[in-house]
Amino acid sequence: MKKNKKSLSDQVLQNIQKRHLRPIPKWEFLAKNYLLWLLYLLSIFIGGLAFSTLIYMFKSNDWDLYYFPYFWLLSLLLFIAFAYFIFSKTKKAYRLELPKIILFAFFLSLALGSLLSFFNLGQKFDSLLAKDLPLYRQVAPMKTQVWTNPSAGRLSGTITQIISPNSFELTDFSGNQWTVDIQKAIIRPSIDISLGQEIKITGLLQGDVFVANEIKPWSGRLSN
Amino acid sequence: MIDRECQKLDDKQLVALSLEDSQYFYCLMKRYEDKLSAYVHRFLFLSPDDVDDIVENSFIKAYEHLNDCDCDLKFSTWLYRIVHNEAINFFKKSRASFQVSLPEDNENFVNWLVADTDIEKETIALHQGQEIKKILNQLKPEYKDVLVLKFFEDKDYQEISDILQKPMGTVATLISRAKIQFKKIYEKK
Repeated sequence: MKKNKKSLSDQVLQNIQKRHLRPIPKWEFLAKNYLLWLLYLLSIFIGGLAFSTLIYMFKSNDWDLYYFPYFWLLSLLLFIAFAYFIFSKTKKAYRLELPKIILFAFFLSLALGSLLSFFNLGQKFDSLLAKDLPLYRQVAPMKTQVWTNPSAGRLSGTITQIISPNSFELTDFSGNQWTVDIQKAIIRPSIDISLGQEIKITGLLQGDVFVANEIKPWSGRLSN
Repeated sequence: MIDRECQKLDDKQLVALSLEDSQYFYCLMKRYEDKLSAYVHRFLFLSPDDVDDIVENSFIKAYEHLNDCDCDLKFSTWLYRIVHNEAINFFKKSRASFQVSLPEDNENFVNWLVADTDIEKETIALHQGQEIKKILNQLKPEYKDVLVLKFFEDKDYQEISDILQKPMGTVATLISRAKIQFKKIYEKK
């Protein structure tokens, strides 16, 4: 049976009154809105923190190409994605194009991260996580961990004994001793092969001897 | 008494009063029920009962969400958005046929078609109504959506953007692509 269109409004009103429907209180909508914006700002902040920690990890590894802080890059991207997702739920988000929303969140996180980095918050955050999360260093290794990996061709430490013009003994930062063959190694000009020198070496572990390809100072930039 | 009082009030005032007394919401419904029913009928091929169901559900949703009514938008735009979403939900659940029903006066649409295509007005006039409807029904749903709102509901780009919750640039692109697709289908025929 066709409903009489003129009575549609009457039916709805009857329905509203019969079911005692009431408008949802304004505070519920306001609360949802505030929560969304809070989550958005939190995502941007954590993204910024991730970026500042990423900068710190690069810096502490002398911007070395042997180490890339993938964990922090992924964290940054994850929180930007989350920020976009939250923003898309806000009332006026549909008026903006998707790339603009993502780029805005990205640059906001980067700007905030740079500011946090200026205050060494990246370092503090890294230390805090290392202290409280047992597995953290496995995904965000320190420079000493990156450079104490002889099976991967990386070794670092202090020269503790000159054995011959082409070899010396190195004690790594964990206290282990290594014999290093430097016969075919490229030695950076700033390096003086002498006792007490702190260095990092790339090469190949052959039995008990670490055959060096290149020797660099422990601190400072890669190229010099 | 309220009916007479309602006539002097604008939508914003009626919304504020509806929050206290549902009788004022009745006035809003009377103001928009025919327009919204016609809109639903235009882009979904449904029985009058189904159209009524969609509009009823939309009004109930609108009443419950009155406190969330976006003050920056026109009330009608907000209402259209609710109706559009309810219609889409109905379409998805019932797999209703997403077919357009044209109003008698579709001159705006014809003029738009003629403007940037090679199709001559006389040609369209010959095949008007059924032929246009057939072609419109072959367009992608998102194209039909914008065309119905632009040419048959007389909404501007900002309103369409607010109803469909898409950026204005996207709305413009959809309308432009709809024209291209319409022309392709027309020329094939």
